[in-house]
Amino acid sequence: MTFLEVSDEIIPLVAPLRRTLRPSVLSDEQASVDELLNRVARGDGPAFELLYDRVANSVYGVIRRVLRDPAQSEEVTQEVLIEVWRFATRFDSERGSATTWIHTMAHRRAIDRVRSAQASHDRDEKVARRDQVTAYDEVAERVEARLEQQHVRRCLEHLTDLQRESVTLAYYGGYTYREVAEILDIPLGTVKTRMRDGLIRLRDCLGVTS
Amino acid sequence: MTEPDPHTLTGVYALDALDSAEQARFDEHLRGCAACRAEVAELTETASQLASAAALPVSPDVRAGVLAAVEHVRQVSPFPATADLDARRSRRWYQQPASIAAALMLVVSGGLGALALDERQQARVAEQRAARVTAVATDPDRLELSVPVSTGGYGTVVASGGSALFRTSDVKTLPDYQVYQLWILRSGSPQSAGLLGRGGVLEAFVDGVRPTDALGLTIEPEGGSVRPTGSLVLRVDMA
Ligand SMILES: [Zn+2]
Repeated sequence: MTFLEVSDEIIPLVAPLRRTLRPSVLSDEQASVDELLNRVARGDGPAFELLYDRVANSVYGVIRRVLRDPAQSEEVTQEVLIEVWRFATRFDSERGSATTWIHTMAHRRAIDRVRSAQASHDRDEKVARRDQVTAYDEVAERVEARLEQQHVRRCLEHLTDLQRESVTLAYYGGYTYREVAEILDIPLGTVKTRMRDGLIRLRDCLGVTS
Repeated sequence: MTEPDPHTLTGVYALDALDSAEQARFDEHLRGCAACRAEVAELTETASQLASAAALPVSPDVRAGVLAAVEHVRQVSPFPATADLDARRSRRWYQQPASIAAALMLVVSGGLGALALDERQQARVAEQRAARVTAVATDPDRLELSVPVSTGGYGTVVASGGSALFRTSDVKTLPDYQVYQLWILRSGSPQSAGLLGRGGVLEAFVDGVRPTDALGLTIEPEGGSVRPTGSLVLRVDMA
């Protein structure tokens, strides 16, 4: 089931790089994702188009990482972005940034999809997915090398191997921490700690403030 | 196995790596634990950057599809939708009984006594409904089917004379922007049979079911859909 329509329009494939906010009146180009989402919450269609161009590639990218199948990933991407429009009214900036709200929605949708599809599959399949997590890294590297991506990758390299494997198997592979423990053959408690410590180290490296 | 210390699960939670039951428990913990809420917020921002790092060019077809679709999609109200309240109200008649038989007893006897006076009209409807439920469940020729829910658990249908009782085991809890919706799947025109909530034991009483129909359960955006848009997690053919 799909409601894709073919368009002849030529649309730039790469989203503009994030701009720094200035305290003055902001043009559409300079508006932050948070501001755009607030406008979308008031039913502003043109703001939604701008918002789409800011977030669509990362939404698609993360869904594609988890699901791997391009057609299915496009379908879920479409569902998520329509949900962004529908539920923009419920976004609460007190609880985090707009980008995070959107990414979380995308990631959870992909996870739901992969877990329901994978429910009956066996361990061999899991190992195959693990290998593909790595293979996909290389593909993605060739396709695009944005500054932001390079920064995150550099920071990932600062994690211990176990931290990095735990974090990426969960986030990009879509595994539960129990499955990660099984794949890496380490105790559950260790996986929990590695995921938390890994994210904290990543946060410090990236300079996230919430 | 002993219950793990919930405070250590912040990283796992931020990576969406808990199973659905554990996630529901941790959501509960978060409501009462400010320290975990703060840490989860930070770690979720961090995880979100892993999504940014994965960005890939998406086909212009998706853009065209999304922009065309939102022209016809109404935004939800900033506050929980009345549809949620309606769904809760309609579920009252069968709250969490241990079995279909227990559900019937609740509907037929105790269930009605607890109603406020201003709900007398609803009570009358419920009485009529209870009579129909009883008729289904006591029909010696009733159809009883149990099929798995693809996300875990199973659903049971007891049907007779065009009516069906539908009940699931404890199913996966959905995020708060989604809802389980039941459908009468009839070739060409699926009909909504109601929103059943976000998880736990889902129940419904469905009228007007034909032998050639199927019942289907899908995961829809909060507030429900006019026709099924989400993945079908259960299907029961009535024939
Ligand atoms: Zn806590």
